[in-house]
Amino acid sequence: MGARRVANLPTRRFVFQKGSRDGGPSEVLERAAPPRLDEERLAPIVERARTGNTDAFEEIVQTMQGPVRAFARRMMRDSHLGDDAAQETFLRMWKGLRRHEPRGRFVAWAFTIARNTCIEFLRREARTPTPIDVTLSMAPPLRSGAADNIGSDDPSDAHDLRRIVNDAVAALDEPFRSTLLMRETGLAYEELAEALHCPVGTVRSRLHEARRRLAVTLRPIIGGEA
Amino acid sequence: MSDRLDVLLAQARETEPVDDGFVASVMSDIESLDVVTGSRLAALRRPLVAVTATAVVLTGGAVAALVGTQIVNNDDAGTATSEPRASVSVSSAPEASSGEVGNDARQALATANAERSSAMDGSGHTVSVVDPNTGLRLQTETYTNEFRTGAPQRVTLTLENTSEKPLAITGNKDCSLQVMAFPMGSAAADENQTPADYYNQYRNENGVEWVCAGSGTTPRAPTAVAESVVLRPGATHSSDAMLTLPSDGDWGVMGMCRCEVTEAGAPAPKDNPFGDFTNRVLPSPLVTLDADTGEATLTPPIRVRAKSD
Repeated sequence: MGARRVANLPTRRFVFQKGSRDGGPSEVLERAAPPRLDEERLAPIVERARTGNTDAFEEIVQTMQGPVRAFARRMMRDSHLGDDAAQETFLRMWKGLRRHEPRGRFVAWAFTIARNTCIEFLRREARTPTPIDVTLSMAPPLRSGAADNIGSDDPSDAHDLRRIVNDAVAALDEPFRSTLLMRETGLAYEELAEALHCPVGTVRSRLHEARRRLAVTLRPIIGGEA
Repeated sequence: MSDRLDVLLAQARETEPVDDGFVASVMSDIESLDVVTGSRLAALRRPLVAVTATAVVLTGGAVAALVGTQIVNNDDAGTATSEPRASVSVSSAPEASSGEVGNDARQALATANAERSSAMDGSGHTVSVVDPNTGLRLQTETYTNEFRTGAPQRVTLTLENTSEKPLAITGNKDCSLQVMAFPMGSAAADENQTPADYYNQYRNENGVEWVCAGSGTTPRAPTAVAESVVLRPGATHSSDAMLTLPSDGDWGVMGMCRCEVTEAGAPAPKDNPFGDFTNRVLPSPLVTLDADTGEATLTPPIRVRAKSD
């Protein structure tokens, strides 16, 4: 069996057309895909870490810190709290590594811990996502034409859009939010299913529902029917 | 619409954070965890040469040579005292660097002053300070404010780790915790005097009583043996001193920890031959004494009255 790609979402590079909604000739912005987590490459490192080898675990942390922290930061909606949650995630991984079932996907197991940790931290912090309608009403209006410039390389446009989209994602209920964010982090459907302890079909339906809800919320920006 | 949502989601995706500092922080936590579980005790037992050099680095030459290591549990039997403690957790700000003291430290200093005042007027027999930087708490308990002149009286010093990380406390073997008593006469407590002021005022005077907790020897002739105690979060370590006041009158009794505090288990750089100890030496903000005496954590004095039968 060849090396299995754990993360199959970011295999393509997104090319954004700036200038018009139908993508006329314009500047092109390419966004690099996040690095992938390769389960087969991780497997021998995990085995060494399971024996108590801290050097091996350090390698795991180095490899996985990007996706885990990115996921935790978006779950917590705060980079510092997200990093705290990610740090706690790795600590729990170390504690539970010896009990980890080797036949299971390590990445899925890690993200199960990350999700549970974030949810626990959110409860502890009593941080309730701000309702999207409040967020939108409080947010400064997009400059004229900004909504038509999705993918703009103008930092202001990009910042506005990122904030609004992240607010909309944060307003999703569980488990839709964490499912979507794990998918956004780069997990494959199979990993998602294992991480969330549900069938792949359930993952697909949750993702579909999450996207539908996002589309409704973001309709003023992306247009079209929900 | 779906494509545009994909584009939006991709645009909201930020660059994944990657930095060595995060990895070091995680590994530090794991090392600390290993210290707690006892699997890394060997890391604290360094070769003699390294330990000697470490001790020199940490204490400016005050202690050197062998190191004994002791892990103290939360339920350490040595911590028991027979009376309920009336201690108030007070923090002393770094007097020597008051210009950099934050609001919390200022508040703590004010509280410490209040507690000192209370202890100095003879109304209390327990005082404690918490080092806000390390979370190490030192408590002095005299059990009474009435001493019998010429008779040894027990004074208990207790270290408690109020932080969330294991702390290694290094000092002279059997003498890292010390009790000093100095004649106060009938002088009223001076609100402006800090524990360090009392210490510096009396430590070279003949009338002062000064004993090591644990060994009963005098700190003026320090041993050449270093000792490290590792306190888990929430753990305490107590040591008794038998203090004899030689003459009638009012005395101030203060406890001190002549020690260096480090976060145990912090990962040492690979090129650091001294390992954990020198990697994360935490500055003691409580007081910096004379250069030849190193640093110490001091509780405010407790006023006691010595009377002959």
